[in-house]
Amino acid sequence: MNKIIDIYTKILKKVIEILAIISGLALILIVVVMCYDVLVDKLANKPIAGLNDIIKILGCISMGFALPYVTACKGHIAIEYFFQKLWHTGRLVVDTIVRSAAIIFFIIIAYWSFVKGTKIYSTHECFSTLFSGHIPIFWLYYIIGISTAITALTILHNLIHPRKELIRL
Amino acid sequence: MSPEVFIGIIGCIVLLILLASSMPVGFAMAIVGTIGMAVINGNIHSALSMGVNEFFDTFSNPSFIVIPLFVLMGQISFHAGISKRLFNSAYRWLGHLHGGMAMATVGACTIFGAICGSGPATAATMASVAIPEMKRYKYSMELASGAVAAGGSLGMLIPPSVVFIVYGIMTQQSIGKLFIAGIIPGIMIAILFCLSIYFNCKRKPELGPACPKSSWKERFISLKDITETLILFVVVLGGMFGGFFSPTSAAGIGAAGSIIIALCRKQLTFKTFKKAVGETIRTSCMVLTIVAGAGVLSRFLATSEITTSMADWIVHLTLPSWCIMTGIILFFLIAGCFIDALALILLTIPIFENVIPTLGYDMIWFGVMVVIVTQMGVITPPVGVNAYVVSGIQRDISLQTVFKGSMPFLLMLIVAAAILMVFPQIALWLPGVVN
Repeated sequence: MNKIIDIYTKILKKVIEILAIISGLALILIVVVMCYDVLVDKLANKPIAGLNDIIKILGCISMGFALPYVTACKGHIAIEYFFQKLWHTGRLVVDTIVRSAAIIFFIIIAYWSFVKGTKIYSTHECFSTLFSGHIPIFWLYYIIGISTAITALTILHNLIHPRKELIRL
Repeated sequence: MSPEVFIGIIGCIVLLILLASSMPVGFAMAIVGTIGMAVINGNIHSALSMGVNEFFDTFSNPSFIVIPLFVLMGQISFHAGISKRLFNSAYRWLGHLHGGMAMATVGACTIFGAICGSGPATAATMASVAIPEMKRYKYSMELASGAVAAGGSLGMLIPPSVVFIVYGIMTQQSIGKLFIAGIIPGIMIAILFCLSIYFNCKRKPELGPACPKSSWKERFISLKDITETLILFVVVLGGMFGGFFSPTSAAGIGAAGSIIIALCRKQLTFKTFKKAVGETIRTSCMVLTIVAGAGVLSRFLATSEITTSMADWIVHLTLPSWCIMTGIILFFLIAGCFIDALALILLTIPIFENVIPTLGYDMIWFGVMVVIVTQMGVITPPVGVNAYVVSGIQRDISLQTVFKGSMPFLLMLIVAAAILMVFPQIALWLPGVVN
């Protein structure tokens, strides 16, 4: 059993790290695009066409893929004060219930993101200002789906190892 | 009571239970909001659709992208050692006064807050830079740690402040106006902090002995080290307020500028850059998860009509509006001791955004007031984040010492809140002028 958990942890950690790298690259790309836009807008009076949609895409990739990373670092804000006042068994029970609820929620959200993405795919909805409206939107919902699914798996890891962060800062 | 309002009340109770059970604030709000919507509408599909859309819209909203960009600017400046140079410069100018080094800490925190936007990050930086220096000059550790913890909280008020960005978007107020509105109260609080240090040290000189006086030449030379940072700050905020850039462009320019400055000073290695980006995505995503959760929750609360019912109830209280406002401020003061400032603001905005204009108060002013009041929460027990940060970094200083040292500064924050309550123009004058 321990071996399976170890493999699960290793794979999960690797996936989260890859997503975090993509997230960071998307963020840097936003900086580059914003600066380029200011330069060409102010100097040549030619702002980037579809800038808003580019930022939307990069923002969704950056923040979406960062969600499992934040969860793995236990970086979300929570009110620990009352929880810490509980006795040991109480903490264990409450922690299990709370994390299980979060896992179920994120699995449902992940599933629904894929459903929504597939629905949008069938309607051929595209970004209106990018490449004459040829860039589809649906895959951004898949990103949210992947991100929330891995977040659920990360919370599952946190449930198995309540005192340990999957990724240490 | 209508069934919707009843469901709304049940939802609020469940939310409080989940929050007290240490569920992440963003998750708790999203879960309660989604389930609540499903119960009210009797349609789980539309509720889930709304939940997914809220996460999608928040993560891909170009207005919110300003948050990671400003956070990146602060992180790069932090890793490039700007805090040390700021402290050195402030020390050259103020160090010879009684408690001068503590005042220098407050001054450095004020300027660093202008780049960083995060209270705990400012406190963490200054705790490692300023406290060892104050130890060397035999400062009281109560004063030293209190000055760092309280000074760190100024980052929440001095633009660019993450709390203001989120508040502005959620209440549909101008972020630029909120930023400008925070400047004078921020400087006023920094001055009040310095006055408190000065008079306490005048009364008890052993608290903060005066250090050797720097010559005028040394003082001006020290300014050279921080010039490029001040220029960056002026370009970013000046460009934004002057209408040259949108907030997102200004934030992008700021982030790029801080990277260029750090590279020119040869203080940015690949390792520190990676760390800064990692910290940026972590902080920003944490903030945006709360925002997405708050979005789901506020839709549920609005559909349940509990927000309008509560707003109606508050407005129809037979009390003068200043009395109600004082009650609201006291609520924020108490709740701020237990809940993170940003989370508290997002939790309560759906209710108070209907109440404040009806009471005759300005939403910009209220934003500034709320930030000042929740600022108190970061230096007061039981969950004063900045106090924990300072004690965590300087392990020989107990948490009790930091909290005790923060008390004079807490008093100054209360004074500042009272001044702002009586003279709201202090916050509203500058936005009016710039407008």
